[in-house]
Amino acid sequence: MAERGSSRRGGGRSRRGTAGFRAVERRRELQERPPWWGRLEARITISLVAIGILCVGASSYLVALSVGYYDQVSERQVELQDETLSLAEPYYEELASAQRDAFLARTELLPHELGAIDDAELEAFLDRWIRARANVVEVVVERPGVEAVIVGRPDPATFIDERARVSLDGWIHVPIEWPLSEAGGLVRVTWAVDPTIRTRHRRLGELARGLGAVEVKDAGGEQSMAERDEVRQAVIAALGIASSLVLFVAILAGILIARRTTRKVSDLSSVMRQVASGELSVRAPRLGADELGQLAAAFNIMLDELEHTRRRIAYLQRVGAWQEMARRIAHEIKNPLTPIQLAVQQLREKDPGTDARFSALLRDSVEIVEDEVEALRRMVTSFSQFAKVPEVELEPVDLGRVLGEFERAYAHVDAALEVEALAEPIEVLGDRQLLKQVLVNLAENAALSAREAGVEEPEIHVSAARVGDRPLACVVVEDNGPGITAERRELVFEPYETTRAHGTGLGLAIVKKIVLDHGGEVSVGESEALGGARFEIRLRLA
Amino acid sequence: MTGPGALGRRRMLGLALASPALVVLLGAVPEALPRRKAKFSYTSRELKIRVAVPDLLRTTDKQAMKMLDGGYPTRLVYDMAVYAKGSRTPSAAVHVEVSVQWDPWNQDYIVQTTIGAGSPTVRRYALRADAIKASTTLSVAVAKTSDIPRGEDQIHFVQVIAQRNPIEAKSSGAGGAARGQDRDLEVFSRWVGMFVRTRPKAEKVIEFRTHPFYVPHG
Ligand SMILES: Nc1ncnc2c1ncn2[C@@H]1O[C@H](COP(=O)(O)OP(=O)(O)O)[C@@H](O)[C@H]1O
Ligand SMILES: [Mg+2]
Repeated sequence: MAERGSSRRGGGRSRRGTAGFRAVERRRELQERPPWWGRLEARITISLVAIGILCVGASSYLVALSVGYYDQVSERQVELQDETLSLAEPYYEELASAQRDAFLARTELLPHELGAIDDAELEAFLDRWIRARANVVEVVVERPGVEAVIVGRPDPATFIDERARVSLDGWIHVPIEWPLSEAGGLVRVTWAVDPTIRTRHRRLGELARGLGAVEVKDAGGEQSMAERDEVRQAVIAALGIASSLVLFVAILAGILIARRTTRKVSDLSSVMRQVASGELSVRAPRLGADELGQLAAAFNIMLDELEHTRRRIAYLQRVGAWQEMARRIAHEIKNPLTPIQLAVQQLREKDPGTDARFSALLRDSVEIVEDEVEALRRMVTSFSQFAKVPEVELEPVDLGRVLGEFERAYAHVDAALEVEALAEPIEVLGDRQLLKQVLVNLAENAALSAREAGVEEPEIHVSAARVGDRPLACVVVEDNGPGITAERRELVFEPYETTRAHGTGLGLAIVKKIVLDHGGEVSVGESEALGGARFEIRLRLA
Repeated sequence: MTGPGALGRRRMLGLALASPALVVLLGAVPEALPRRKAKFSYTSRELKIRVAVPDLLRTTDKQAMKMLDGGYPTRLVYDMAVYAKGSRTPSAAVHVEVSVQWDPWNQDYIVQTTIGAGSPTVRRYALRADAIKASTTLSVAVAKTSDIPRGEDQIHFVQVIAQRNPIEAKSSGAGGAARGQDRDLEVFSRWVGMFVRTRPKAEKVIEFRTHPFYVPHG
């Protein structure tokens, strides 16, 4: 128990210890693409294929079942037909032998009838005998010692029966012989049988042979016969291949559609993974107008804001550090300045005046020291001014009033200052004093830069307006000085960035800090109207 | 064509030519068939062949005998064509149809033979074996002698295709312009037809070629 407890405690400690690593690890996990089977595209595709196979498989199975069912039905039919045929078959033979028996019986009678007839009348008798019977073709009577008498149907080509429509030649001839008398001799009667019975029987044979065979067409539409089993297999094969084709096309279409959708998702997810790994400059591509497109657009806006906020915070942190340093330096330098000044004043007062040359030297030196001390004092003032930029206290402020007060207070500026009246009253969230400080810093820079560049008549133009439909106001300070080159436009806001001999590089840093504290933005560009620099400050409306 | 050689003209020509030089062209389809013996004879007018195909209709074939004894006619169709060695087009051909049938009235078997477009000849046999033998043994003029080039270097053989009860294939010209489901059905039936592997042409088909032979110069 104790051991387990201690191990649990140990585990807890290590868990706490690796918490930081865990975040790093999770971040690394995020950066990796999921394995192929874990990706949305693969999953959707696999599901589509599975659904397709399921559907096509199920319907193929049903079709195979119904093919089997109908095959059974037709098999039963074939069996029935087979039975029918085998029942009908013996009738032919039986009919033939019955007819033969009848012919035989009638032939048997002829010798008796002939007994009473003498030779002279024989032919006439036979002719009558034949005419009286529809299906006798020929009669031959052979008597011993006498030449045989042959009597045929007078017109063998005539139809015996109108219905049969077959001339006697086409009939089945059945010659039957019978002894004429005990003394010898013989009669032979050739009987005729309607051949339609044979034709029918032949047709029956064709049917019996064709039983179980099915007519099939080849690609050219030519018909031929095939075994039923063979045809069933062919139907199943044809259906199988047709449904595989359908399945293939469906899967292909599905994959194409799935890919179009999942491509967006995977694009978005790769961007998100980059963002998660700390890369904030990436942006999601445009993904159309659907929900994913909206998601990407929203994500991009979020990233913009994130980066903006991050830069603002970084700037403010940097300025804060510089402020702290400026405060220290100001403090360290300011303290010895008064004793130095007092000491050199004492030196000047205590000059005995005995040596004119020494007095002149002393006076010059003291003057130099006092000048430098004064310069240092000015620097200390601006340093501590920078260090002590007060906290912004936001309240609704009438921008027109701020501009008016600034104009009145700084009319003395060494330039032609023009403050444009507002077209409409604008109220912003701001700190009146600090906003005036911003305008002063910008106006001073404008005047100084123009002078240093040798501009005869520096001009400064201040204006303010609402920004389009957004809840922002924009204050613009333009001048006709040298302007700021594109590559320095970010840099000039950094503390201690200056091009002036006596500059501190703090003016614009203060401006930017105040504006950022207002939740606003400041940027510099080129003035189209005056040809110099154009500072633009955007502030939130009240 | 006349002269002292005329006597020797009617004689057997069956010549087995085993010499490998003559078995050059084996790729041709008729030449790939198995060989069987046949007897050839010729007159000044025609070349006659005597060939037996006993396996086309055998008494041991129960089904065939049942049909024959049931009074149903059995059709035997022979197609014979003379090929010059190496050629794929026949130089002469003959079509023979034989029908064997039991005649229950006269209690005998009728063997009816039709050669080409000629009129049928009928023979009757009391015994089934005789009727079968008569119907599976052919002795017919297969070509006009003038159609066959002569000489020892002119080698020929005869291709025989014998079918028992060939299945009549009807050509469906009446299909017309089928529409809608009918047309789909038509397409489907053709599609199915593509998967039917065996379409028997007849109950039984025997194909072979005879040994090579030549007709000597007159
Ligand atoms: N209106 C302007 N025209 C041209 N350059 C300017 C203007 N305003 C500022 N600058 C440039 O920006 C630098 C920084 O200005 P700022 O921060 O006020 O420091 P400083 O005025 O002490 O130099 C200046 O040194 C100057 O080079
Ligand atoms: Mg400045």
